[in-house]
Amino acid sequence: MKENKFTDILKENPEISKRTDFASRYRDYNLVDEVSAWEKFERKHFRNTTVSHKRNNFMKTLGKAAIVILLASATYLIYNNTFGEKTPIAAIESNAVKISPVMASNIDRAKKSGKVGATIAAMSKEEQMEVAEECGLSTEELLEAQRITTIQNNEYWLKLSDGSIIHINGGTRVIYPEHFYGNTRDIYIEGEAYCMIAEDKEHPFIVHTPHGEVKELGTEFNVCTRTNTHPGKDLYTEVVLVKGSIAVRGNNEQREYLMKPGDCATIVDKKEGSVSMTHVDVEPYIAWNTGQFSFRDKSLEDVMFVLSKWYNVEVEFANDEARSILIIGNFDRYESISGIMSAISKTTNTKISINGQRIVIDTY
Amino acid sequence: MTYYKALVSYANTFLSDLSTSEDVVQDVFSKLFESNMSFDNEMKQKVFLYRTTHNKCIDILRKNAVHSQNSDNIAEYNREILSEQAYVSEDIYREMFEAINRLPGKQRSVITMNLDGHNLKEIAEMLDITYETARTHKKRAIATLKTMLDKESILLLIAIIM
Repeated sequence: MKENKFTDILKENPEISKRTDFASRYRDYNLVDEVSAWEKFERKHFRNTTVSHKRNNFMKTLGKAAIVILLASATYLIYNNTFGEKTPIAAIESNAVKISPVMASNIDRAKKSGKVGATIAAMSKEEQMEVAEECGLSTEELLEAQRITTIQNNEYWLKLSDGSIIHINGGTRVIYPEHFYGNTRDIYIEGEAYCMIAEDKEHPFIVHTPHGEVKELGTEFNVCTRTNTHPGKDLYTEVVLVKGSIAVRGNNEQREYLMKPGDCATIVDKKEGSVSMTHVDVEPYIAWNTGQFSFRDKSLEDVMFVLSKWYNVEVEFANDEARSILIIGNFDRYESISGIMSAISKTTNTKISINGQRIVIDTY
Repeated sequence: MTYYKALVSYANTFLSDLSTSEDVVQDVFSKLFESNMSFDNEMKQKVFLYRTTHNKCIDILRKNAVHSQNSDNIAEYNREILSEQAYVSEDIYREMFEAINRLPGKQRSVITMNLDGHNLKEIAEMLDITYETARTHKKRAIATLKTMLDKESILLLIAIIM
């Protein structure tokens, strides 16, 4: 039975004890103390060896240790060199396929036929399959290209083939082609990303989101999509323009809405009036993109809104008075949340308690 | 060391004793370390680790059977020759465990309690949240897991927790 793949086992006996097997293995998995195991291993292989033995084998074993560690760390993790620290920042999805020249020409042909528009990435799975069939391509080929999904609380700088740079926030999925072809440059974003687009008037750059698209010619803006918030709350895509000019459009509406710097467009799934525009201070929206949080006379509520997004925490004000306390200051984005909270607590004389993913702010 | 915890939990399915399981996996890593083995790719290393762990567990079970003079059972503990694919499949557990552990706090709690056999109503009571909230956490957890796992693993996981 062990020979079978899990899915086969599951198919054969849908009610078997896989649940208990999985659950108990998961429990065991979490009971294992990796750190002390590694210490034990080190003691055995590095410290307890005799000196002569050590000398002879040290380089050899050291080399092997490096191999073991390198091989054992997942190959699919990209390491971030930007900040000098080697921390995994993004996992390339294992089903990402590299596009072959044949696939490229197929897709190009499909695009020219008019059947496959620029909105392919934004289509539903069913639509994609339909179009793919018509063009004699697999859905994978159609969607082609690279997908990247960043791990929660991590970020990734992505450079596209046209020179545009996309700064991807944690927990975000981006689908992009290895090379751009055709009349437009298309990418798909679900989550949050800061886009710095290389200028190319001949080839408009289009960002597709679950709710609409952003079209522009050379500019900087932030895209944030909400696709899995609490029920009752709206699902939307939020676009904040920093520099240049862009046009946004809802998936189900033909009209394009032009944006000026400082504008924030909220795109929802509606047939008419899918885009609503407000003028905002861009700082809270783009703070995650810069190395620091910079606050000038911001209310504690605004400050906590920015911090909660970056640290992925929930914030509760036990006392409404605390909301309006003004904050001036710079915080390092890579500091721990507890450090920042203790600084705020001391300077504003508030009582702040951190409980896992939840922060409660109260006055004395 | 990526595989350490997963290998211990795998060994424990045979041995039902965590500390023995840990010793076994330590031995496996020592063997790898002391030998001059090198691997062309991660898959081969993966298969080596799982296969060696499996074989060592079988050896221990046989030895115990001999000691307890329960020789009738010895025949059961033949070293099975499993295909490479079987070991690669074992590793799906590791990918799923890692994915679950990367979930944000509440989503993770709901999923792990779900795995422990509690239904959403019980989970909501224990976490002191509404049923709707528990359900949302579970939905979000699955959505998050979908971005981290391949199709096969997510289907399996959903089948287990549904």
